[in-house]
Amino acid sequence: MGIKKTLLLALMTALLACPTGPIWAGEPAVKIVVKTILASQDAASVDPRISDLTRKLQSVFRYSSYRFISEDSLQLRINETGTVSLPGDRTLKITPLRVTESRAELQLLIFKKESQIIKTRIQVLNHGSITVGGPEHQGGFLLFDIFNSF
Amino acid sequence: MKKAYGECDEELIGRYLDGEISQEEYDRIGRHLKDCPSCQKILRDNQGISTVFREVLGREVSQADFADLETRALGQIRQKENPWWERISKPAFSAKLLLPASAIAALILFFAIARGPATISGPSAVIEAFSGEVSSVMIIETPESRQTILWYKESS
Amino acid sequence: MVSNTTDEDLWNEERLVALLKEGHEGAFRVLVRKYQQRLFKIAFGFTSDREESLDIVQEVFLKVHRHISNSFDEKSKLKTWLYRITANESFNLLRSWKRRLRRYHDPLETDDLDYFSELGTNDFAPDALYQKKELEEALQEALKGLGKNARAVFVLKEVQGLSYDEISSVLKIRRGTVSSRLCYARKTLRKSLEKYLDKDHR
Repeated sequence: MGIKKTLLLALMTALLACPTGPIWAGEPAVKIVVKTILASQDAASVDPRISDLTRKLQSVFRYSSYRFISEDSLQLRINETGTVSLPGDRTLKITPLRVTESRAELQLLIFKKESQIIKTRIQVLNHGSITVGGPEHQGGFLLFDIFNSF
Repeated sequence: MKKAYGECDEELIGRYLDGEISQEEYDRIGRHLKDCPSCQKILRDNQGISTVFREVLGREVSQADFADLETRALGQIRQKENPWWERISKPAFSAKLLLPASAIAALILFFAIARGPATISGPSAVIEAFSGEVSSVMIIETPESRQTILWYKESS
Repeated sequence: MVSNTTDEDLWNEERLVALLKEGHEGAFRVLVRKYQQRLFKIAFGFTSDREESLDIVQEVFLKVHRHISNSFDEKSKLKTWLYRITANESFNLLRSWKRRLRRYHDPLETDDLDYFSELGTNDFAPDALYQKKELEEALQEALKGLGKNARAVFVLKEVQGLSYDEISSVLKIRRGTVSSRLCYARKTLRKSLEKYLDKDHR
């Protein structure tokens, strides 16, 4: 049982040592990464770029294929809105509203052409993501994994 | 409640088909069946359904991957016997690969931090507000990793 | 039938159970090989889905591993216990949120089996084959409409050929109940499949 205790001690020490500096309003506060994925019943394929996410989704969905379509990165300040183009004339607008110790509050808007389809406000874990789906597209369904870190 | 000799008794036909029947009942139904086409059809239909069902099962069994099932089942059972921390200190593959405890601790710590706290404190995303021009929406959390999924169906 | 190999020893139930209780891995391998197909058939009788049935069987073996030391009464038969766990796991799956979610979530997947896509268009399929596929599909649908109690007795009877007494032990119901539920199941299935069952003598 020596290993368990060593681990526990080491973990606790590391957590205490983690720096948690203040978030300055002026500087880029939140990094956002949006991955677009196409889920379908095509021949099974798993893209290593999304293997982690695919594994989680497979516990819930029954699609056989998850294809990586695109990735976009943004660096946004509080109240700054970033835009990401999505397939099928869709647009995603993201605005960080505030940041707490463990989560970032984001507003997400999804448009199709000019009309607003979705408006939502979420609190995402730091280094975590929300997966938004699923408009139909080319015989499958689109998934947008919206990841944040700060 | 015994049915009269000349009457059709579906349950008795079933028990006749299944061999769950006394000698007396067997004789009785044998006599009845000779003269009753509708009971004959019931018997025939039951047998037919049974045959089709077994054919479907037979085909499914031949197409299912049991070798894989066996591997997975035994693998899972083996895992339950050896919790991960024991497996690290007693690697099954080679006794020479014993790393010093501190190095192991450092490695595990690295992976724990690199993955981030997402698995510790609640669902990956909490949805505070939602509105949309959609025909339906669902909020789902994956069972182990608590990944939040927001699923909607466009109304057009 | 006489044999002196050690494999035959392991297949002897008493010894198998004793070894399983000790966590003997070879014994689990024997258990899996001996029962996996039977349990799969039972699970399939409930779910009509190959993947789900395989998942269920895997879960059953895991449960056996977990509970054989504390939940299994040596006086009862191993297979009765296994069938009961399989039936329960199947019921659980049918009721689960996960399954409802998957079914909701897969507009591309129909509840029907995909035999038709294998056949191509109806024009090219020989009549008899087409009708048989249709009957099989209709049977799966009819089974789903049966309701859990009737389906359970029908599956155990048709899949495993269990006697009424055995079914009675597995499901913990009276023998008379087994008989009446079977009768109801068959009657309902005959009605649903009426148009596929021949009118005259074949």
